[in-house]
Amino acid sequence: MDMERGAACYRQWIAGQEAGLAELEAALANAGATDAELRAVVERCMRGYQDYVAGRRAVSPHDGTAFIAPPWCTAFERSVLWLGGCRPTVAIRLLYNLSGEGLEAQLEELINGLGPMGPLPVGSMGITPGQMVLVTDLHRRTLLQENVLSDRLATLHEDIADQPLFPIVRQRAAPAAQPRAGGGDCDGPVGPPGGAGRGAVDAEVDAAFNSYRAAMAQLVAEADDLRMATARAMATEILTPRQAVEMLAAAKQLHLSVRDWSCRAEGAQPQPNGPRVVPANGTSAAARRNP
Amino acid sequence: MEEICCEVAAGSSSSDRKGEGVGDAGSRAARRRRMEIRRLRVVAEEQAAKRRRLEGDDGEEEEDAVRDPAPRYGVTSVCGRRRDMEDAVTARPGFIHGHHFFGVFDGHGCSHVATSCGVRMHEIVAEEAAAAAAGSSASDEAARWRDVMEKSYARMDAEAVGSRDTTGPAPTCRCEMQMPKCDHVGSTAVVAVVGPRHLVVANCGDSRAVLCSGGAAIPLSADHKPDRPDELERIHAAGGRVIFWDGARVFGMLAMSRAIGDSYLKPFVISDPEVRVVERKDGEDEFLILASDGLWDVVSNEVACKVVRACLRNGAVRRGERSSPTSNLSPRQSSGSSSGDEEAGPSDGAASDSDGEGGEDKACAEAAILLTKLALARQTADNVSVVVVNLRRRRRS
Repeated sequence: MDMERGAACYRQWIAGQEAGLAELEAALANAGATDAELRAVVERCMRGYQDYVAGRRAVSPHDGTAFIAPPWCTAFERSVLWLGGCRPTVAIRLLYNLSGEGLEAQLEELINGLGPMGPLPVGSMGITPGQMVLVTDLHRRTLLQENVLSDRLATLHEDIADQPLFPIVRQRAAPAAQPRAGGGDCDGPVGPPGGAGRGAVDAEVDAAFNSYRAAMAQLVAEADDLRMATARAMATEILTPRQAVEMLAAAKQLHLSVRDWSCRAEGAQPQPNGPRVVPANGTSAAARRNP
Repeated sequence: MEEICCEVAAGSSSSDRKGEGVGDAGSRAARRRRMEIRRLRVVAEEQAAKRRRLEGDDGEEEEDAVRDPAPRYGVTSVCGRRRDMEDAVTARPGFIHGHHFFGVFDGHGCSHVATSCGVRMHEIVAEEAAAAAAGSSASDEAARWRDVMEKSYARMDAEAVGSRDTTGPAPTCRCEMQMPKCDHVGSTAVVAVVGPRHLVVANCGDSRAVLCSGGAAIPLSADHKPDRPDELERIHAAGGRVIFWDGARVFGMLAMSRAIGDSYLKPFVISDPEVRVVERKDGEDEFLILASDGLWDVVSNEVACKVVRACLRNGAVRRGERSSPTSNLSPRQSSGSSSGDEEAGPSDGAASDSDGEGGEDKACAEAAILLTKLALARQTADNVSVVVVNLRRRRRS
């Protein structure tokens, strides 16, 4: 796949995340915002996710491999990725934590009997019992679907030692029993000299690789769908518009902070061609958020 | 905890009053096999009412039932921070005529033992209670219930251990009933039967039942931890060892000393319940909480009781008003959704509050959910299941 375009796509998304966070925070700060206005903000945010996913897919429709551990992410980001993004259930864990914010203080009031007339403690975000029911239900469904995809990823991993790749490996290894000069690393020639040039070994190996690439692209696409479906169910079906804005803002905050801090910790702004120092335009997450 | 243990071990208050009916059980056995774990539910109370009507057969029992409609209750069960749901909960008002069954089952190793407890335990208890009522002349109500519970737990354990041999629908649990992993699966079981005059609590494992009565939080069960002195002694006497490995564990493996299932740790881990039968004290008894350790690990008995009391008090006040505490739900919720039967909308509360029938109750459900939220806010790492049963009898007007 085209690494430059993949990286550009991600950079663009990060910039979009920052702009989106600003918009969500502004909406939250506006106490007079109507539900319709808030709903529009939520919808724009959801469309941002959708656009990123679609754009990424367009960059590499038949090869999902680069999205599994993208070189344009920090090592830390890569380590928490699941099929090219966050686990869908992360949204639910996030909500569990948001729903508990402010709860202890409100409980204290309730228990100390500052009037039985007051509302029941719902935490500062105001997640109601009815919503908890729906969140739990969503959690259960999402977990099941997530596990199904994880199992398929595991199978794909194991397939590496199987048809169609492994027979080719055996076949090529047999006549090449004599010592090899160039070693086996990616820098040296793997296939016969004078092969297909950069990015290709030979037609047979390419075909084998491409079947894995395509299977991975399919898995990433399905994972994207599940992430979107979970976020959308949460933001538009379970939460009120204001709660949805709050949750989406928290999610963006989390993502950008993890990126920002891991960039700093790893001492570099990750770029597609390996670690580099300062981005030319100075508008990256790290530069903008840490003047 | 030791104090509690001693209290339970020393026996329980009991009564020899007779007259509680033990109704037919067999006809219900096949009914409602639906596995209702893993979700918060609002059990349709009409069903409970219908069941009670169907089962109201003879005079004395009828009288009890009229005097004692099913208690209001609320149930929650959430996966929380775990990726496996291994808790199961059961609420069966009127499972025996005039008696109401509540249970929390916290599985370990896999979910299937807890699941079968959730599906079967109340049926087994009903059958054993029917057999006890028909066959025995024992005058002591408490002794009879103790016997019923002991037999029920033994049967449940045998079923759980033997279930992999039965040919049924393909198991959907994680272990898929494969030996030997299947041997290492078990569940806690805390069961409460609320009768017209008694509360019966049976427990095996580290889930817990707490009664709030006269303003005090009274544990009706004592967690079966391997380092509980009497349990430690029992395990040693059987030739077992308790090893401290991430807490006290039987042979370094199971962090509880009694459980349904876990055949690989028998006879050190046993399925015998400790049973308490206490007389209900109208005017003092407020409510009963059953919960898995996902709650009790982070919320004390006392705090739990305070939270529930505040919720029930709040609910009682609110009932007098025309307020709608869920009015800020999104349109989908108020109009019903794919999970529609779970939605405790304002109308549900109003219905169960106004007609004097028992069943799922808004204030109890809110209390159960609030406890669950509190446990999550306090970073519980486990599944959380909570049952709240309001013990205040309602006047029928």
